[in-house]
Amino acid sequence: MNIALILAGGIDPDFQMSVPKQFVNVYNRPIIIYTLERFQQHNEIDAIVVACLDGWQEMVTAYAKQFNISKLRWVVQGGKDGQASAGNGIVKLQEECRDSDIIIVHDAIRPLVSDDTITDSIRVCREHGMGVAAMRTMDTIMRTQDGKVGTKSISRYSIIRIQTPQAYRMDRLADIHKKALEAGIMGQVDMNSVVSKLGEPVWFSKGSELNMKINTVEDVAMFKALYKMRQELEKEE
Amino acid sequence: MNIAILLAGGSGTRTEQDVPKQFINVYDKPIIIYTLEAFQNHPDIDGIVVACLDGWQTILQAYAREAGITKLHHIVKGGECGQESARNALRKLQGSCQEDDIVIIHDAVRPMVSAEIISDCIVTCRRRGSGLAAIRCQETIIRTLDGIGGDAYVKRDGIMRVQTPQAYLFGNVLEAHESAFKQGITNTVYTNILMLEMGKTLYFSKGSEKNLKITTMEDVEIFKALYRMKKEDWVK
Repeated sequence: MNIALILAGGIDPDFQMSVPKQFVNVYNRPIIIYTLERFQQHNEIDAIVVACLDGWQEMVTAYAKQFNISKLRWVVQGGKDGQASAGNGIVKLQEECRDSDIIIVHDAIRPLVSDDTITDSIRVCREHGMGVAAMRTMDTIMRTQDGKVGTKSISRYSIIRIQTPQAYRMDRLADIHKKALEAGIMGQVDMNSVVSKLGEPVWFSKGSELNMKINTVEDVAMFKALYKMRQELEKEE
Repeated sequence: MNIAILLAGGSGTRTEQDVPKQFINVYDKPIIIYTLEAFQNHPDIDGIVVACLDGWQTILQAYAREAGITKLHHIVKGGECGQESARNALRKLQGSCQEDDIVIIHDAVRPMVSAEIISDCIVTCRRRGSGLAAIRCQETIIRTLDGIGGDAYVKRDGIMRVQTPQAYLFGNVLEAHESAFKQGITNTVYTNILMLEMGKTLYFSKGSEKNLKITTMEDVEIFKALYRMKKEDWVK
């Protein structure tokens, strides 16, 4: 089984609206629904779990029903950060899944994830036990201490930017979760950070610039524009 | 004087199209024209030089004239790499620029550059001697050798993603380029890398996630969306 674990536990104090990003409405649907739809219509995804910000679980369940997200199986409580939310999801999934099942962890606020990106994370996971969507940067990279001045560059080929989806074998994910607790590694932004903090290797899959994270009101507007463009393209076809 | 140098010498092998990225049409205008417009419309830019991919100069001239890019003073030949393109443009400016004039080097394939970003690199350059549009990394960064696997976590606050525009004092940047050339350093793609190899200290100015370098067709899609967003704003 391949199960999507959608992280919707976050609340960003810097976000300009009072509604958490993942629940902002775009064309009358909360952003999370767009994300859920990506996994609903992907034929390699068997089920979906959502780690949800407290107080919004009803909303997620209701909207999921309305928009036919039939693969949604469980809604668990979100945590203080990506690691904690994923942790709650992992605890639930350990009860339900086999060791060889694949868990695809993904941010609810990345609604433009493509089929290809999801497929590739699963593919790499099958080969290496994990597949984390990642992208090179096209900018040059310089070292800095204060963000104002720099004297050294590092090759842009020596680093990679991490996104979601991040696919892990269930047993690998459970193991990472357990080791992190034992090592006192907490408060990480995502499970991938946990993996590298544990000193373990990370395996990358295809990322995409379009797989943007919605962080600002401007990003919401971008998403709207990109979504509309896609719709128009599909109508033409 | 503040002179913009647009690097349009790339042949665009990454987008797998026959048309180089800077000449891909979006809503009937080549991408480079959007970039030129950003500098044309900026009150602090006095002139523009384009280092252009060989064979495309006539097309560029025609579209630029059509779009009213009156500040476009010279088109020079693009080089094998960014460094050569910049050097060609800087040499062309030797007759007209003073030592302490500012040159603003910018990728032709970054059409989403805002007026604010252009202003800030100029202001920073006046104050500190250079101004490089740069942003922090918002994502987790992992060290990798092959792009297939990686190990160490790289601290985000220790690095900056450096974009263009990059503003430099004309005297300094011309000298650095000539020095590098004499020393046989010929393959630094960007002037900032070259300046660092020459031992310079460089200063960062405002950049943006939106100031995307168009290298894939997905990037073109993002540009289209951003452009439509902006248009709707103007209509309001």
